[in-house]
Amino acid sequence: MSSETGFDPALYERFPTTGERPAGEFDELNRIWAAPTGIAKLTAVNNNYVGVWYIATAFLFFVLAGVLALVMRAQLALPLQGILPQETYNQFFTMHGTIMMFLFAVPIMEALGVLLLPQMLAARDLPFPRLSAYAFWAYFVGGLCFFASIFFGLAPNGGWFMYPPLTSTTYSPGINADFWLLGIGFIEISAIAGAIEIIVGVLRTRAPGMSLREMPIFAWGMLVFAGMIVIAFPSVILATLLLELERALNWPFFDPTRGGDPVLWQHLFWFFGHPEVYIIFLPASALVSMMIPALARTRLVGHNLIVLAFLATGFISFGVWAHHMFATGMPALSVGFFAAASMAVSVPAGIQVFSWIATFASGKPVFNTPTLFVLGGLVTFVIGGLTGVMVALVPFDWQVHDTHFIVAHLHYVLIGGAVFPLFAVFYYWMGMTSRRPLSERTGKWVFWLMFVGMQVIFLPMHLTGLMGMPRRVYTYLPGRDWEITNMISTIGAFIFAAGVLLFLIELARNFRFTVEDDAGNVYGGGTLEWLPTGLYSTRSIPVVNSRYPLWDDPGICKDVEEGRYFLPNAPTGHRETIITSPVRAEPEYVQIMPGPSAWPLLAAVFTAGFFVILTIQAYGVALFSGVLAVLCVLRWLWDTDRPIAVEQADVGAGIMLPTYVTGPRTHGWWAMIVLLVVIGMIFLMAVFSYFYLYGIHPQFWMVEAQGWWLFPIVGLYALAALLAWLGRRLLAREDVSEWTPSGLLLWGMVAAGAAFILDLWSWRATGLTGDASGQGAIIHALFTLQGCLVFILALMAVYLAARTGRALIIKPCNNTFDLITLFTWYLAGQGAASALLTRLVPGGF
Amino acid sequence: MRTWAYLLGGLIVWTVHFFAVYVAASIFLTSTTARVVTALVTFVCLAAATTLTLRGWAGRVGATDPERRWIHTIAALSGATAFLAIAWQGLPALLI
Ligand code: HEM
Ligand SMILES: [Cu+2]
Repeated sequence: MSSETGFDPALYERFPTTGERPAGEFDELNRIWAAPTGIAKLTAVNNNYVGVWYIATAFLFFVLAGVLALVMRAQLALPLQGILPQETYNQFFTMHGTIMMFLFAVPIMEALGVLLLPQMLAARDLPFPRLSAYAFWAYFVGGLCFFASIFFGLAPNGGWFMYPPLTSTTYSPGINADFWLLGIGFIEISAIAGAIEIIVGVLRTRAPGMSLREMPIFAWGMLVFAGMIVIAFPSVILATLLLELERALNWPFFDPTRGGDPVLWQHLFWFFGHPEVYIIFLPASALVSMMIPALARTRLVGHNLIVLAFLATGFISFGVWAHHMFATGMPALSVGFFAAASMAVSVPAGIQVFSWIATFASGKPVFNTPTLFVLGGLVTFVIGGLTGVMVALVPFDWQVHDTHFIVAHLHYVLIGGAVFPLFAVFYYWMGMTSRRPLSERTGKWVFWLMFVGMQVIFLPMHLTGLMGMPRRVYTYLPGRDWEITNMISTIGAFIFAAGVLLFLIELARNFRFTVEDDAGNVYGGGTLEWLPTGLYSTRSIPVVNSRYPLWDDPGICKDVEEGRYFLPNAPTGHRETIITSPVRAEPEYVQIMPGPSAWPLLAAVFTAGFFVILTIQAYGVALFSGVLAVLCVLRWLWDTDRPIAVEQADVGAGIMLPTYVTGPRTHGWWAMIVLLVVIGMIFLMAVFSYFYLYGIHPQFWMVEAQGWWLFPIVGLYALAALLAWLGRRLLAREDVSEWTPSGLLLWGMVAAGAAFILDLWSWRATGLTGDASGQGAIIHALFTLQGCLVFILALMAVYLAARTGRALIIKPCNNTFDLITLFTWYLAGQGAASALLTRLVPGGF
Repeated sequence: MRTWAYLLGGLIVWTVHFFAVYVAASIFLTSTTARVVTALVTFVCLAAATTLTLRGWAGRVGATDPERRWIHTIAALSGATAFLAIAWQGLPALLI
């Protein structure tokens, strides 16, 4: 057998170990992982707690958005009803769509990742527990404030994709639109935080021996999911930033009379928006692929094909965004390409559906509640997929664009692809976090009510749409034959709601949160999350060499529980987990994990505060909240990256692993790279916008900055990168007093700052302003992005200096230093690229 | 990194292809130039996908280590998928 890291796979033969484990070591493990009690429980960062809170909050938003939907359906039951006036209806569908997409569907998938991934990978926790806690709290506080806007009539009203010019200040002068643009801000941050966590978690914290080949399908789903968030979310981050800048500072990104273009928004939004639907569907379908083998009592048919389908979806879903824009008048050939790609995207989904059917067919399924939900979801999703192929046909799409046909289509896909699978998940995994499982008898009622309700609402709605009823219109005139189908849809909505209500009652009756004495593996799953667990996750971390370890090794639960595998104790006396290599999962080092802390919680509250207060234009208070958020983050980071007394730990069977590692193989480095990809994508989308605006309205590009400024600007950026590199090199040297490493980094920061100011100043000297033209706006947007980076680097440099002052930057290598160096390199690259771009295109020399 | 590039090679070629044809159609609109560029890009990408598939398949047959074998399998499958997808994606240039 070959090896990835030099670890000898023969060492796995030592497990399960024999002989007694020392007394007291188990109590020690329990003590180290114990959760705080009382009100301090809120500072817990353990995935068992945060995961459940997270899921509960997301479910709350599902119910809230569902209530909005019910009121809308009541309004549409009959023509000319007066339940919701026009303006309120606009706010309702916008909030319903936005909450369902941003506050329910995406967060609940991340939440399930937080709860389930560590268990499935047999890690003690995800690699950055405090980051998950931060992501959760920012979402919780921000989400509730966002929702509250509806009670004040301040809720956004431009639809969930907020097209300008409708959402520009001319047509939306109130602060409603700002609520959307800034309210989405914290969701973007928390989604990205979650994605970083999941990518590093899946690739680096798997149980030893769990190679990519044996990785559970959910981990694959989450990996692709997180990868897609990293590529897709930057686009909407940039879009919201640009629109907010346009609204606040009058920079005309989307105003065609001044060299902007509203279609740019559509490109940016849908480059995010289409992948978004797969971001929702992939984890849900991955969960289905996890449940079906247990429900059908056989192995998943076509495991490799499903992995391939996930990966293929991840790529192709970035190639179909313009199918939402068939009605905008793109070149005929482009339309043809996008139609072809849109049809192709159904193939990976088809692979999964056939594989599920084959698994059910080859096994012996029992028709219990999760099975019903899975099958009901499958049927519903396939119907939605078929109407999806219909709207990929361009002439048909022109016919039904913006009608209720689309509303029916999107709900079939979303409810079949995500909501029904989620209910199956609730039933199937309830035994992991609840003392009692949910009742099968009521479960069947819940299913049939929801399933029948769903079809009754949305099947006739296709007809409503084909008869021409537009979406997003609060009422209709009598005598157009729209009454009957609308009434049926409304009745269906109440049937569906009855199902959800019954489920809530069922939760109140049977859900009793617990970590230790849970109901357990009610449905007989074969993957690691069903190992006996406590807050420390599994007692010991097994060696994995199968896709269904619990089925293939009947002794595994007992051996794990008796500590016969990796890390049966806490050799360092801290919370810890094993970091393994990405392909073959060979143990590399022991990661020391942080415990409970109030700082992520506080940081999250102030982050959410920053965005929410910005909307009501109390800029001073918002800024104050933002500063507090930054301080809390720094305070939380302060405790991290400290070597511990035990340099080498015995992780079981005499295998020794280091406890402090630096460089490109560390989890911190990986997280930084992912973060830089996010920032890089934001920049890339800005570059795209630059070319787009130039391509559409070149007549507005009249200002030229002198080209020779490039030499000092690029030179200074290069100097910044060089100084950071030199600092990192000198860290290894013992006797430096003058040019200390952090001193060099500070100088690097100064050089980068000077380059930035020079660039900005030389452009301003030409008289160019942000509100002058599309060119002025986009150049200033690039400066905004770069300015943020420079500001962050300044914070980092000061933080580094403070750490150096306290002798926390240990030699010869240090993670904090490494990460700041990486950031400086990136910043220098982006700054130089942006200076070159603005001066060389369309040409200034 | 190299493992990942190989594993995802076919899908990456596919992505390069669809972005390339979108760019071609955006710059040259619905013109003969756009069709010719599409045809060229399509042939190059088809060739790359074929190479990846064959390489993956050969690797799969020769591999003894189950992990390597699995990586070759996925690489071959993704190459084959890409081949079909690229051919399909190029077709509109013949029709429109
Ligand atoms: C069975 C429960 C549901 C009902 C009765 C319902 C009903 C509605 C109604 C009446 C509209 C507005 C139609 C219009 O006038 O344009 C709407 C829009 C929408 N719904 Fe739902 N919905 C349900 C569940 C969901 C779920 C689970 C999701 C997503 C996960 C979702 C996502 C959306 C989106 C994205 C829109 C478009 C909003 C917009 O036009 O900006 N809905 N829904
Ligand atoms: Cu789409």
